[in-house]
Amino acid sequence: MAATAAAATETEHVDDTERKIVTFLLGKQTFGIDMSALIEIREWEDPTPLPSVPPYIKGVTNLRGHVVPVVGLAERLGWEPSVLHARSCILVVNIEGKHAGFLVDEVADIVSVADSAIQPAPEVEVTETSVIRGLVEIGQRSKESSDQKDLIMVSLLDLEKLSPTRHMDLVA
Amino acid sequence: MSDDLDDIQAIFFEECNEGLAVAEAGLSTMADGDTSADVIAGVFRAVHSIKGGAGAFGHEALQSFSHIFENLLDEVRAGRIEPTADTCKNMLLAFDVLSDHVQAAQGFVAVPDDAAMLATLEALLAEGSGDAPAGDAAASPEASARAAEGEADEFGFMPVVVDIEDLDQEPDAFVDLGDGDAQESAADAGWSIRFAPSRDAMANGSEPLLVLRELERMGGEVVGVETAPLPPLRELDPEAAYFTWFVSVPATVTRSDIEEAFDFVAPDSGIDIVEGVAPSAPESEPELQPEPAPEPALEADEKSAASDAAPSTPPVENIPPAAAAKAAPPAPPAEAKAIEPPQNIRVDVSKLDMLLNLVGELVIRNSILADRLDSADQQRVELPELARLTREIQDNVMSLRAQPIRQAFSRVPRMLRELCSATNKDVVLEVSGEATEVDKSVIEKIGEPLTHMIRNAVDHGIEGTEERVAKAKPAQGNLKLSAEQRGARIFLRVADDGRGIDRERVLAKAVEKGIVASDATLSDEEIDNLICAPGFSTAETISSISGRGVGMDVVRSNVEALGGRIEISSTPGKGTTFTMILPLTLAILDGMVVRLCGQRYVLPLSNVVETVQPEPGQMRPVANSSEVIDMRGTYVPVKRLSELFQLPPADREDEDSVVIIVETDAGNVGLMVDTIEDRREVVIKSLDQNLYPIRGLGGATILGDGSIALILDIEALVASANSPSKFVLKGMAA
Repeated sequence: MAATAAAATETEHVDDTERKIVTFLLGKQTFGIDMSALIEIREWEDPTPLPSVPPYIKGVTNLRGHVVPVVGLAERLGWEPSVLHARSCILVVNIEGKHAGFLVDEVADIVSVADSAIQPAPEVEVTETSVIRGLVEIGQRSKESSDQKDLIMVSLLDLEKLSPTRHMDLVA
Repeated sequence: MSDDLDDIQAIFFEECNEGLAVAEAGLSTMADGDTSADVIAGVFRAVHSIKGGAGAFGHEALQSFSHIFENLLDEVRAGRIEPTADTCKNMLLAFDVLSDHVQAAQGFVAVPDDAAMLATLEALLAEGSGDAPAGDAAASPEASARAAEGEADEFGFMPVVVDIEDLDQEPDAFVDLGDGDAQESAADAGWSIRFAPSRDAMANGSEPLLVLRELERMGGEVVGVETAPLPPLRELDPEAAYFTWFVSVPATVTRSDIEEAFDFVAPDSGIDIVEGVAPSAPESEPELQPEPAPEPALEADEKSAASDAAPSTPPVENIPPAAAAKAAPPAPPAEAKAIEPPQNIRVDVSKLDMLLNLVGELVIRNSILADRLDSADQQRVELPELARLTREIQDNVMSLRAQPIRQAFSRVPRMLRELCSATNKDVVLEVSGEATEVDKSVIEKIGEPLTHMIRNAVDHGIEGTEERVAKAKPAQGNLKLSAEQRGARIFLRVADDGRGIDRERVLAKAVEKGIVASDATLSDEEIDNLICAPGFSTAETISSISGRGVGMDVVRSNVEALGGRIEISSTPGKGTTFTMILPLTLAILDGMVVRLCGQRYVLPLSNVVETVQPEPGQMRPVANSSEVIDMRGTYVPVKRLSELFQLPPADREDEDSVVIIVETDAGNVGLMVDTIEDRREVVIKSLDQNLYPIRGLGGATILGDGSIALILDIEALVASANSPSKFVLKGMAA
């Protein structure tokens, strides 16, 4: 409930502002990140593995001259590692100036949501402190008929909390 | 608008810091006994500039302190106060307060309490000259206003502040001093000034008009203009200065104030300041006064008035003005040529970083091409030439980032003064090699280790005066700070002539702290190195200076993080020398590319001693799964990189692998890898930019094919493998 108030102040003062969300699948769940943080979406290619890092850090890859860590998002959330397939891809994001790539199962869509439609994340969280910034319901584009829209829930990720640099304290 | 102002302020503070460095260097030179006019003037100008800028930006505390300081310097400059050792010492202390003020104005620290220092300065001023303070005090409010303008001129942030001040002050100042004093000056014999601005004055940013205005504000009057050098109209360069100006200034103005007006004038300008009023020119052509723009409309009689008025150049003061007439009209200003001062440009460091990154990319692309093209094709597209150009661009970009290490050394004198007063020791500093150039990133990072080493030397190394005298050493301790470039490395030395490392105590302490086993036999060198062991501190009592839980182990890890190492050499009773051996740049590394389990790694070539392909039987297992290699009778421990990194064990014989013998603080160690691939310069990409530092890795690099290779941090790699028992192990092996 305390979290509700905090999250509300964050979203409400910009009531009707729309933001673009990139949604993607991880297992059966749909997640979303703010489009403004996205640098690019690239195909999976094996990153260079690093010694003595947690298993969810898959290694580093060359992003146009920058050495960027690749994070297995499923493992990061405490799930089974993603199984790589043709639609696996890496979302390269900018988290406060630091770059990181996240392995996801499939990129789904880009949708606009009003800030007011974002609900604060409930306090029941699976792993660690919450990495979910909020929840939003979106209508999924239905393949058969345009009238029938299935509403699905998207968990918006708090990228800052997922930043691999945050684990500096653990290592040093 | 406010952003602009902030930008300009930022420039001011940069200039301030440069000024402080100049002032400190000058004051130190003075304290060392060289009190030549140049040195004093240099310090004066630096403080004067700071004061001016402070005034312009409304940093009152800074301004008022620097004003008093400047006054004192002015008196010293004028020879009214003797720059004795004591005075110099006080001025150095005043300098410290001044730098605190600068820091405070930037909001870094609280405004310092300068009351005591001000009192000292006032006392010095008072005893220095009986009558001078009065004249000085009278001049001071105006002086600061003038200074503000001078600053504006020099820094180029003229418009708003300065012009308003101009408007505010000019009428009063002019009326007050101008007419009244003009009369007086005839009686008092004022100053005759000949001012021939350098032809390129405007291009150099020293606008002659500002000087003339400043002289006018002091009550000066333009009494004549020499227009002869004015070329025909079609040859006229509208931006050049052709005229020579003659100004008379009342005697109430001090010579130093007049000289101050010329502070920022280009050095090739002709300036004569002569005591004694010009014979006949008062009130001559009033229309000349306001705007002395070089218009070709000046009339002939003005010219003659000028030659009447001007030529007074008696070399010594007190010669009656009458003697002046003989001097020939001044020569036209010399064409500026010969010595062009180097022109500088300020660049945001992030732009240089970007440039460096791009050059890094270029280097990489270049090696991609080299990888993909066979040699005939390489020749055909002139790849070698491209490679050469790339290399040259790279060198040049690196040199853009190179800065003299002086910057890192500049804080040392002050620190030493504070350390000396805190420990009651007397230490003199000797600095050499401060012009050695190092990459900016290195300079930024050596400050802290340097500070620690100097603290260490003063606190633990150098004895108190009594102890030194008792040991028949010079009473004054000596601390040498030097920098020297050797190849791609820089050697930074901090050497003291103190008591040296007390090895017995160090060893006892290390045993007590469990850093070494009690029965270990260590060489002197190894014992010396113990002071860099984690958690080691020899200070008997925790002093305010070094007993803060931060010891030489932190220094060592900082230096290692820079890709460098520390060497310690100590002679009991004679002193200790710490040598930091650092790379010149943190951006490019000469590396050996090795392959292991399908991945490529880069070893810094500077660590590599030799490489061996083990013969059968050359590798010997020792207890506890450790191995050694027999190198011509010496056993060198070998680490399998695959084990250190917990990679799947390679299915290959030792004889097919390569052992690279590397030099580390803990002695030579062999690293076993699969093969050696290449030797090349690599551009270092830090891992912590997007991730975090990983022990054993010094960073990563991008190879010719676009893939990433990890750069090994040999010291950390070897240390992490056997860290707690490192010294014992080494002791046994030796």
